[in-house]
Amino acid sequence: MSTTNYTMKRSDLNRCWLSWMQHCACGYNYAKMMGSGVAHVMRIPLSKFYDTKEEQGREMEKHLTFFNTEPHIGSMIIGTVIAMEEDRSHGEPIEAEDITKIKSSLMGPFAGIGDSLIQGAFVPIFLSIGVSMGLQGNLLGPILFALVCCGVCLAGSHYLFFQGYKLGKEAITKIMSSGIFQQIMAGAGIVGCTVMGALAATTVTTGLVFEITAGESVINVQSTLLDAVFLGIIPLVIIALIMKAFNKGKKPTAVLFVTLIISFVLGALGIIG
Amino acid sequence: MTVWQAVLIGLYHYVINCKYFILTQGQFVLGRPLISGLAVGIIMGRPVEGLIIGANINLVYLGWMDVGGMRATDPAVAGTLGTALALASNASPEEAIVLGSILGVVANFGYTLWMSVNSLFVPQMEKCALKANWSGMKFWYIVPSQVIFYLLYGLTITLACLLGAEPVANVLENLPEWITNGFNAVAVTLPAVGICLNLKSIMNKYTVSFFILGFICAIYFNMNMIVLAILAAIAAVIAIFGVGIPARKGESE
Repeated sequence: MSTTNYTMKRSDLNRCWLSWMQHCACGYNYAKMMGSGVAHVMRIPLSKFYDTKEEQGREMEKHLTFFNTEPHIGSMIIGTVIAMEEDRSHGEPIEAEDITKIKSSLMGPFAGIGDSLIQGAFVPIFLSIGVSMGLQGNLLGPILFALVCCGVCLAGSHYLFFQGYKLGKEAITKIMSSGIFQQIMAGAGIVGCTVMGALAATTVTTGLVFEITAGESVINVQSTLLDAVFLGIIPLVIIALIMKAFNKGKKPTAVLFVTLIISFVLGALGIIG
Repeated sequence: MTVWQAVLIGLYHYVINCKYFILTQGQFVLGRPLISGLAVGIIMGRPVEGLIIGANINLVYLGWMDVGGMRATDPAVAGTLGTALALASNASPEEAIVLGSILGVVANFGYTLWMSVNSLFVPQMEKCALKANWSGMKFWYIVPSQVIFYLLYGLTITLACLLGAEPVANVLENLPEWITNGFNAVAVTLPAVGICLNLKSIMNKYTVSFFILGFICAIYFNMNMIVLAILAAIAAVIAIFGVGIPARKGESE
């Protein structure tokens, strides 16, 4: 076995991070999901650590497995795997299965945290702010959203990648169980729900449009009766109904179409608007 | 719409959403209809109108998520093609929401197809990988999937822009009043789905009160969204660290 005893430089690691962000999903497929992307990252360190093509190919075999996670938070796993490969090439007793095990045991939890934090809370909070500005034709809305979210996604994944490389697998497991992600999620949940509430109030403006004739007088049900009780009572009822459908496990597409059809029919009949 | 505008819109869609160019953060950031509405508006020479249409289409996709390659609809196509067709046919924002929602559901089949076809090239790629033939590995992973992505999305969107603008305009021009009323009702109701999709992942029995708080602040006090987000962040600090906040710096750490 001829290893080069090479230690990754900062520029090599930057290249690996770039390769991960670029390749993790550009050929996303049902066979290996992001596993193919991992292979693309690992070509960089493996070709540094081992001299011959045979050894590089042999070491690559363990990276041709199924892998799927959230790319930004998950870049930490890739950093750790590179550190483990480096130690392995330096002769430390790390088996190929150890590396495979770390990948397969961390990808699920990282996907869960990453998806709910980034797609579920972080992006929607800033998107809501951007959309509420965009609805009024304010060009700063999309620009603010793009700068903040692109910046945080890229800088965050870069930081986590280097942390993963530096800290190694013990530290990752420690961070995962320390509860810091739970605290961040709880905070994001509070901010997210508040912003969503405000957005619901400004965008879901469904109301009753028909009028009742009672003898001589014409009563507008919405403005004279419902609005006096609570502004936006109908939007809240609609949201409660949709949440109930989701909690029962109905598919988003089904809910989307049922809502579309019901509101269209009621609107066409002149009941809501 | 000129041919060049249609080609540019198709190319824009490809570059932003193909996942190869990391600066765009495709499905996470720049692929959202809010951004593509503005971009398509710029291409068509009507930036502000495009932005307003894009923002309206985006209402349905606020809580949109792609978990493990499983997604319900395709907001990116709703944003680019929806805005392009809406601008070309002078549709109202209400009509654009309906148009975008339908396009998003239809276009999503393309994504499933793309991921399935990509699987066909994996064996070739892995053969190269085991021989440490890096350029071969890159070729089989990147080139076929990117070419297919362009054909499926870039080219198709260009063609849809060119061929779809007129029929859509014709349909919208002759809408009877009851259909317009139906569209208006959809436009004010459908954003609830986007909001609930997001609430599904962040709301629990405690944070539901913050949802009500945000709702009341906006509907009764017309509060600015950024101010409200900052206040909510303060509330979050209190809720999470409340009892544990030290009186002075360095205490009880």
